[in-house]
Amino acid sequence: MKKNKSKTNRLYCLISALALWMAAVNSVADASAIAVLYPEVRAPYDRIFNDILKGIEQGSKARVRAYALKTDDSQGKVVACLRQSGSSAVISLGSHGKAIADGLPSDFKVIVGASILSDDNVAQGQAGISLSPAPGKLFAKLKELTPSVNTVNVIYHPHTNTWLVALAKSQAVKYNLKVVATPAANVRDAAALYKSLLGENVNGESAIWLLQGDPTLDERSLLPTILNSAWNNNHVVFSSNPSHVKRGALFSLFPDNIRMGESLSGKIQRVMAGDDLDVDPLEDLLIAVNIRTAEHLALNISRAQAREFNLVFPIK
Amino acid sequence: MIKLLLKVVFVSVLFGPNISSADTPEEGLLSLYGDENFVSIATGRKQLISRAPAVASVITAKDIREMGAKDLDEVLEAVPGLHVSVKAGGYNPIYTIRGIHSEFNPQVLVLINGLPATSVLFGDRGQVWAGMPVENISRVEVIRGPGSAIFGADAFAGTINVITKTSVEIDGVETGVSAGSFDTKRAWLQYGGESNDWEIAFSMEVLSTDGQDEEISSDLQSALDVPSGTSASQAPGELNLERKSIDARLDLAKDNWRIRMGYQGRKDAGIGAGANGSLDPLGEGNGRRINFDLIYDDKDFAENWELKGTLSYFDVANKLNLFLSPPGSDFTALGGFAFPDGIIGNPDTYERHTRFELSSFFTGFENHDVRIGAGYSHQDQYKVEESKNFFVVLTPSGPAPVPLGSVVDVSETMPFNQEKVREIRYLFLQDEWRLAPDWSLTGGVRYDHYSDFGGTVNPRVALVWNTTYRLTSKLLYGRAFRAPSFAEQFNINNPVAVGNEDLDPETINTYELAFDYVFSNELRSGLNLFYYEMQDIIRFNPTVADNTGDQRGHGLEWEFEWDTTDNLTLLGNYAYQKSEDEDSNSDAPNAPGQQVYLRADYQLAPKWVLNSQVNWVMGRERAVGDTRSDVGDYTTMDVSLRAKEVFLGIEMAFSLRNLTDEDVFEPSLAPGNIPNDLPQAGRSFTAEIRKIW
Repeated sequence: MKKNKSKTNRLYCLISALALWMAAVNSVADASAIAVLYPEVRAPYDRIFNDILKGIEQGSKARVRAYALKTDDSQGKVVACLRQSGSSAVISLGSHGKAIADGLPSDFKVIVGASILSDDNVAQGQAGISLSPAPGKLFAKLKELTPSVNTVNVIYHPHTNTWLVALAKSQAVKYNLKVVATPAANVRDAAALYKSLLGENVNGESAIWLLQGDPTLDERSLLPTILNSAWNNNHVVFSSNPSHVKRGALFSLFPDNIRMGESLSGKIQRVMAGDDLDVDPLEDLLIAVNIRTAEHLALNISRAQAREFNLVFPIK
Repeated sequence: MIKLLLKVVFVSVLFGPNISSADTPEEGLLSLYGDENFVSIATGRKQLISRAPAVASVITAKDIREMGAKDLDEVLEAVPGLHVSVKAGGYNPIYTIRGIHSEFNPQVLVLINGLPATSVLFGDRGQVWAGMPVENISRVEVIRGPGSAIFGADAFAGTINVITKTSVEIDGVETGVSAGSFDTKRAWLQYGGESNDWEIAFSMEVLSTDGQDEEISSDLQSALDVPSGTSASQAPGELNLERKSIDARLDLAKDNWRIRMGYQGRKDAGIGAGANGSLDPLGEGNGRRINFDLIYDDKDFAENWELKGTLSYFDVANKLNLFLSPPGSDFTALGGFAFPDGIIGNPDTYERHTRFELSSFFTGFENHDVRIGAGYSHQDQYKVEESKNFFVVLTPSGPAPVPLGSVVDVSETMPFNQEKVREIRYLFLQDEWRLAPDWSLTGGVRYDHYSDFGGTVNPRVALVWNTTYRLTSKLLYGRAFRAPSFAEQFNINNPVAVGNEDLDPETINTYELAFDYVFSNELRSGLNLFYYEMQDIIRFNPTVADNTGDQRGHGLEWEFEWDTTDNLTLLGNYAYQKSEDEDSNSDAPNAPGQQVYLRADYQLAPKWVLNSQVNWVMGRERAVGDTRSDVGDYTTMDVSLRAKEVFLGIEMAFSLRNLTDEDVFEPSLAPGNIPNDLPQAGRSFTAEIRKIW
């Protein structure tokens, strides 16, 4: 199914257009079919979407039709394909899928996934699962690895991650954590805030949480500075972005793509049943840990604990 | 050097940047997962490799594919400080590491999935090795320096561990074919999947080739023809490297159990430049290697205890039909005899190796991971057969072959070696102690008891210091041993190479200082310095094997990997070594004094990858008494272009090796029976297609 999908889709759309032009018959409508729009990306990135699709298929009672989107596929073309196939429920994956889904007519039931969702998406009342890990899951792991931490500092962009920070504050209580969230308008402001945070003597009682896709976190210059200072001052830094773990953050949670697909499938079925859903953070997660950083922080991680980690850095 | 760099850059940009945005990964994905390597591990298609307190290199299946390598030897040449040379007979590889070079190369341990692929006769990979294909290789881990505290015998100059693919690394059914120079044809089929809770991986690779056909201009027989008044020599003549091979592997896993089975068959393998210094177009080798491994690995055996048990069986057969001198040889003018049919020897050896090992991790002590284990190995050279038409006597002017009249089965009367059994029992203990934040100390010791030469104790110590956020430093010491081979112990009926049952193992003590520095997320570099002392080197001195030699060496290896842009990765290494033979007070011969390797992986377009590599080998000196000028330096360049799923999901590749058709020679044995050394392949090409179904 996955390998010849784009070619099959092109053929399908061609036949569909011909059928419409001839206006001979109505489409073979199948209102219960779920359409999945996902971007056509090269290997090995395609595996991410293949796994999500697998999860959607596993979790779905309805028929699933997958559409690999090319960057030049127009809204109209996609809508025509959807109409022709009779799909009224759409799961859009990735930012391209989301962009297409944003403009779909209102009679389509839509869930967005596999992209980073912001305050705007929340305000628009979109339903979906963000790539951002659920704060509660992050905090649970934080307490497990560093029990002495009682404060989580987070610097965030107020027009992007306010929804997530609000959620974090509410979920932190369960873990006896206090979230100190400071908005920053841009990278420069954030850099000053991080400098101030990292200059404090925290005695292992506070940690810094790096958000995923936040515009105030510059990956090229600011991130290495944060991680270097954190190392020198024995600060705990954890992240919503697994690639930060490779670079020295203590741990991160990252998507379990198959299970994420199953969750998306569950959500679209609820939407099809008439439920009104919001944006949720990602609950289907795996863990990446930097053992070198853990050793530096004198954290006692047993082999049994380490076996539970899905990714361990550094890798030879 | 500048020319080299220019060559790399030239090849990298030859086709010009042509990045299309049509199917580049989305920004969000790039931000989340970073590079392709990260995606592969995060999506579970790549096995993680634990950190080892050693100087190690890892080459992955992706590296292998992109560099266009078709055989293990082409992969290993990319490892810092490792040079792949060849011996004349069969062009079997000599993995030269840090100046340690010998004809049969028993000082390097080759493992397949952690289990030795060693033939006990010469301590090498068998006389009919004939290469190892790469399609089923998941990764190759190379540890330079001693590893006997972990692996036992022969992990001396280095250890090469070839890890084959499991079911998670093969997407369903994969097939491929390739064809290229020297009438080389390859085909492979792989399957990865699950059935009844069993993870199944199957692989079969077949190869047929005429082999590279460079010319040997003169050989030993050429030199003998002159005073003998004959013209028997086949030189000038082409090398004989034709072969057919089949490699099949099955990997089954369920719960804590894993079963691995392998078969490597070799047929009609050419004798290269001849086993005795004379071209041998009529000779051939046939062989097989069979393995069966049963592994039980229970991570939760008991509280604080992990348990692993391995039972393995390895069967190796090497059958040779050799013309040690070609038909028409006549030494009567030299006081010898005539051999109108040539000097014919057909030695066959058969070995069975049965091994059992039980090991356990104990994690009940805070800050300590303790590993203990014990094992038993039974090495049985159960059959030695030989037929030949000569025997050798020593005369005042040297060894002389005497005719037997015809080819006679001498297996019972005067075989070259003996049917012998060696038993090895061993114990090991290792502790990784996290003695302070940023400091860990790994200490290990292994005791091996050999039924033939007794016991040997080999320790190692590794101190690892996470010096700064960017810098990791390691101080390492290890002792290793190389067990005498059966040829060195039990050779008989050959007056020029007599075995000695009283041999001790060769030993080496190595000290290393290693640094790893991460300049940025895009650039990392490693540097290590080493010093070693070899003792009791086993040599035939002059005709009986003895522990006679010592060698010392020092050097460094520097490497880097740099993701210059999202589309261009450069990596390379430089190795320097200076080793001295203590007996002759001269440089250790044949090993490169310096090596430079540079590689560029260029993502021309989302589905197009161009790889170019340059390999520069320098400073190979001759042995004492070999009056030939030093072996010539050389620079080779290879280019590989790969297109993924451009047509019906088919992947295509085209590779050119030795693009500039450089004259490349590996040293022949002193004093130079093959005077002009051993030529390597000139320019060659391979075209390949593959598809995942």
